[in-house]
Amino acid sequence: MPKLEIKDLHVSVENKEILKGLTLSVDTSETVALLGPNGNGKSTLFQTIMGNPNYRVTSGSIKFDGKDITELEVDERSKLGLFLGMQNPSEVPGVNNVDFLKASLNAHREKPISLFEFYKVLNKAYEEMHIPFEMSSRNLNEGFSGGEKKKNEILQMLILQPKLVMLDEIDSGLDVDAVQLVGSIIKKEQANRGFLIISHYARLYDLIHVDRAFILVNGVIALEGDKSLIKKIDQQGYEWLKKEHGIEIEKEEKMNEVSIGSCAIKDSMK
Amino acid sequence: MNEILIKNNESKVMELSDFSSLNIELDEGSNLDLKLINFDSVKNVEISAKIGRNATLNVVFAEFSNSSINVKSVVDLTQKGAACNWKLATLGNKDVTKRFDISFNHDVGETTADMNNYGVSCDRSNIIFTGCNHIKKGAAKSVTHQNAKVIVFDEKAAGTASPILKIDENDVVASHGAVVGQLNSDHMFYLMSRGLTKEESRKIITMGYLKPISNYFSKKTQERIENIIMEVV
Repeated sequence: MPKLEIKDLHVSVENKEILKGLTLSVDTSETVALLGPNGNGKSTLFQTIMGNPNYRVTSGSIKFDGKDITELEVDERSKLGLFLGMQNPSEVPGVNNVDFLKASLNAHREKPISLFEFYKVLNKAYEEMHIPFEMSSRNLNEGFSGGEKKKNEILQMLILQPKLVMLDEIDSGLDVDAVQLVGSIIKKEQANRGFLIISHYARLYDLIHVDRAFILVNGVIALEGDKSLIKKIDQQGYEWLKKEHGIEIEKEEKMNEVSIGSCAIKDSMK
Repeated sequence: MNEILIKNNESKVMELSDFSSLNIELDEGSNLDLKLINFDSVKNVEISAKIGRNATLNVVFAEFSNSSINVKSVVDLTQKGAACNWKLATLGNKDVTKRFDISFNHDVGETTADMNNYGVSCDRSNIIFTGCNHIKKGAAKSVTHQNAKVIVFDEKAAGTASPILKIDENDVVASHGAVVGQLNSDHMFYLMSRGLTKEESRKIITMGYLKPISNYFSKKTQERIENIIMEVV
């Protein structure tokens, strides 16, 4: 069973260190909930695992399936079976959804898929996601609502069949029915692949099986536990971390410099 | 010299190598769909057009040669209701310089100009979009839009987009957008995260950006444009 192993990972964005020696190991047979207050590095971790060039690994290593992937190109990571369902999927103007899906599916195969096979796969995925098939002929995420974009991410996961799926706030922007749908699909897919899921709400986690939960604070995994952590955070927030575990959440040092008599909007744009 | 006088509605497809200068006159109420295409080495091209009352000139210009070119176009909107819709797409590679000086004069009121220029410059090429949309004194209720965009692909490639707006009258609608930028890194990351290589991602994005213009042309021309994009990018 392939495994994701991260050791002492330090990551900087624009010379600011976000991840400060993070270590974690996830098996592709399990589902892990990734929790933590905003701005502590959850999304940074996902972007780094996927290889976004804006996130610079200064030390440490990422291994997948025994292979060091720290220096690999983004597409090579995808071909190894990693998938990132993005928090804000890009709208790519002029790029047709079907062309894109076909190109990405073929990127994961040795021989190009036949047209017939492709439409079978496509149709099944659209049906499963309750997305009208007409949407396939539109441009990639262009003019999609927030919810439609998120559903399109899950659709891509169904088509590409990755080994380890990272979902970054997949439930934000989804209506109640869509959260139910995405939850039921994840639950079904848990038998076939591993999941690493960021969400701020217990609702999605309630719908699926969660093996373990991590809390990411100050750029490291501060606490590890089981599903009960989700419930606790959902009810009490993160304040108890300090009282019970002595973990203090570092606040942004930057003070609000806007004073009365100046235009706050103008100042924030400087 | 090539002169076209249009009295009624017409549709024309022309290759730039067939002329070095083009004079167009549109009579009252007439309509010309002009499709310009270039795959050949043509150095200088001049286009001038006079658009009459309630006449419309639609230009679709696909410039996909692999040599330097200098295009100058002036469209005069001389009577009320005159309109011109202009769409241009071009691709530069190697060491070529492609300059497009596209201007519109609103001589009288209630005239419309809509310009959209798209370019992609690769290798060490340079794409320049200039021109001036001038709304003259007395030309109230005119509408003019300029949109020029260049994506610069490679480190040594260059692009300029500097459309100018001159407005000498009140009560007009005018907009003016110019962008010169690199390939959107978020888009690249998104496509690559789904397994497309850097090269494939570049190609698919360029296709999305330049290919829409080819829809105005025949299947054969469409294929030719597609092949050129695949080859150059």
